[in-house]
Amino acid sequence: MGTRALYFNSNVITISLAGLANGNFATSSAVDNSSNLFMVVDIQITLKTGSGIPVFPNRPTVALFLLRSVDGGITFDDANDNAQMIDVFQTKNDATSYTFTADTSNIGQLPDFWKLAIKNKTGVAFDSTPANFNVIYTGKKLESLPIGV
Amino acid sequence: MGTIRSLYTNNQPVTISMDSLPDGSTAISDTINNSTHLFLTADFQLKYTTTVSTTPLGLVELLIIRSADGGATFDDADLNAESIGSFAANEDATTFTVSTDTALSGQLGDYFKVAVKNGSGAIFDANPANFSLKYLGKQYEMV
Repeated sequence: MGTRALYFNSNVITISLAGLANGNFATSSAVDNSSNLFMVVDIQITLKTGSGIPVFPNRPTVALFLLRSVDGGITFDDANDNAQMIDVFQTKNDATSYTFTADTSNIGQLPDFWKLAIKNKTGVAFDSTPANFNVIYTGKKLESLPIGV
Repeated sequence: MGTIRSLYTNNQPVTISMDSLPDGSTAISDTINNSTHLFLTADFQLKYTTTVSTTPLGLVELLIIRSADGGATFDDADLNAESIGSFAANEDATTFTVSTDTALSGQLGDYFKVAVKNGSGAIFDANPANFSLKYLGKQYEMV
């Protein structure tokens, strides 16, 4: 018997990023994984930086955090620097669109209810046009195969 | 041929007393019996509340205390205990809700405890309602 990957693309995460102030967190709506039962996901973020990003030696970045629930979506972790970090991405240019993806595998199996938090650490507010932002994910499971497949 | 997917068991309680825990001290939970649930890993969610005079670098640590003989003998809850999460406690009189996945410490044993070490720089808040520790058990299933 073998095992192979099983993918479920283009799931949307609802989160408001346009105009997010520097140093602030945006928190998504709850992601209900209780029926999809994805073990891990790839989260892809498209965003546009604002104007006036500080130059070197500043390190403008955007950080992704997972906010867990262990009680079926009633209580979630706080969206602050204590939250479980998934990844950090560099965003060094002004008024520029970036698309990047993070795999949640490095923080373990996902729970049944979770949220995504995104912290703007670019030094300035994000662009203000909602159309310049998008967050989606690919859910991942495994599929067992009979011997010989 | 089948699909391997997540299997969850929510809202598992942990019995532990954290209110008024002095700075530098460790609270240890009652034994968690995993011999029937058989969870592979778990997400632990901890709520704690600081008082005044926390330090700028104050931390609260969550530790796992293992047994390898069916719950008769457990690790000491000291410097050698394995940390499964380290969280900032650098704001006075503030409630924090944080979580961690035990996966990075390997598969859970059949009997274990968890411990919370107060390294905030000050005694914890005195109200038991400002503290909680619970977990989500995780397995896989094939359908």
